[in-house]
Amino acid sequence: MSTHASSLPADAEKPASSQWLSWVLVVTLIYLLLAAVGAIGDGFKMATGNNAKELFAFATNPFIGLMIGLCATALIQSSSTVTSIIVGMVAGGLPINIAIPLIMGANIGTSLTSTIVSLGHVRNGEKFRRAFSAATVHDAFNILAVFILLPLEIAFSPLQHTAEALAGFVASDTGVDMKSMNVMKMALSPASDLLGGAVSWLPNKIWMGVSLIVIGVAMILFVVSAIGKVLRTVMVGRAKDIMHRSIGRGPISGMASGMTITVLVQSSSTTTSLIVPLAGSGVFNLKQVYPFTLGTNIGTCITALLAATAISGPTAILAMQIALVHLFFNVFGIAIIYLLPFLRGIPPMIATKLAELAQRNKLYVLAYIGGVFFALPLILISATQL
Amino acid sequence: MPNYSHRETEARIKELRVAIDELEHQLMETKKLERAQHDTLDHLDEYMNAVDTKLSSLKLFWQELKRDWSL
Repeated sequence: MSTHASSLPADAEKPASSQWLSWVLVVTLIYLLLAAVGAIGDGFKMATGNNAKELFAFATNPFIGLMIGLCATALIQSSSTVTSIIVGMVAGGLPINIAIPLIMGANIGTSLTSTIVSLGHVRNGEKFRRAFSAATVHDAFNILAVFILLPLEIAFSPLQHTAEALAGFVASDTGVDMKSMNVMKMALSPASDLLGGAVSWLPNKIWMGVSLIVIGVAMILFVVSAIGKVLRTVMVGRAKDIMHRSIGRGPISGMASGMTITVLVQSSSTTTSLIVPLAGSGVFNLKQVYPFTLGTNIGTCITALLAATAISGPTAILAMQIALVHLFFNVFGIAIIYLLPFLRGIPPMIATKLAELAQRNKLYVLAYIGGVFFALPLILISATQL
Repeated sequence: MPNYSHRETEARIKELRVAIDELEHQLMETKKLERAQHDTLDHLDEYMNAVDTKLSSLKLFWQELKRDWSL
């Protein structure tokens, strides 16, 4: 298997200078991502003063928070973007208990991308059924994880407490606790000064803050998309290698490969979309795709963790805490659903049923996507505002 | 009695042979599938940008949906 893999050095096929340039670009984009998260945190602090809690009072209902996170991610089509923005907002004063359902919603929203990608196989009934089930197993798992963990979080806050305990070790109120991260704070200050200077001409703090948030969000949108494109090109050889090695080695290996490839390409949408045509062709079955998809859920947490390192000062621990909540939510979700035999089969069962319906009538697809990702959240948000 | 035992042993050997054949067949099928998986992964570059096909996929689905409804 490894000989197979070693015969695919796609990275080596590229000229060394091009590889080198790609890595410089990746480092630059990561720097911009961190600067953008810092800008959102600063902007949020500036714009809201100490009133972030009051400003987000409408989202204190966790179900609204969940739906906002879901809708926002489904619209933006990138959970990395949404979670990075949430990290910045928490650093700017958004209470953690409001941010947690937003993160959970983002986890569900991100699974829409691969479901949309699977629609490309709609002309071939059997291929479409396989591709759609491979995509929706991710949706079903993430929805089930929220069904289990959100009520538990509302009642006992296990994610908040676990993340709080660990965040204290990883970060301190002067920034992330490692010496290298203090270097990061220094490295980010030119970008922070530049962005601060760019909005300093505005009449008041609210305008300045809102402008910083807008700039930060725009930068994150750009960076996440650009970094994905660059990393996909640079990492394709390594991804091949990892996937070759995981064949025939069982679900843990599948999960590990999904996680590693997602970390390498910094996007769970890329990884879950990548597996859809492979499943559609019938070469990979749902049993193999399922653990791979769960691995992507863990791998995608790297972006929020990375974003949290951009925050220094009194809110650094909170930023790290929300990034760790994202990680623990996915780890606990897998631990509960995949390890308990009576729960493990539920997501594939739902995905199989959905795919059968989708193959029978395309209106089911429309109802499913429109309903779960847009109509239901909007109805729930409207209903709670009445 | 020994004859009966002999027949029983023969039957058991036959049974085991069938089971081994079945397992060998399963193993061959698994190996064939794994070979196909490796062959598919050799072309991973073609699938790596699948995420970028979301707009065209959505468009295609919409066309198909409209076509179904116009029939």
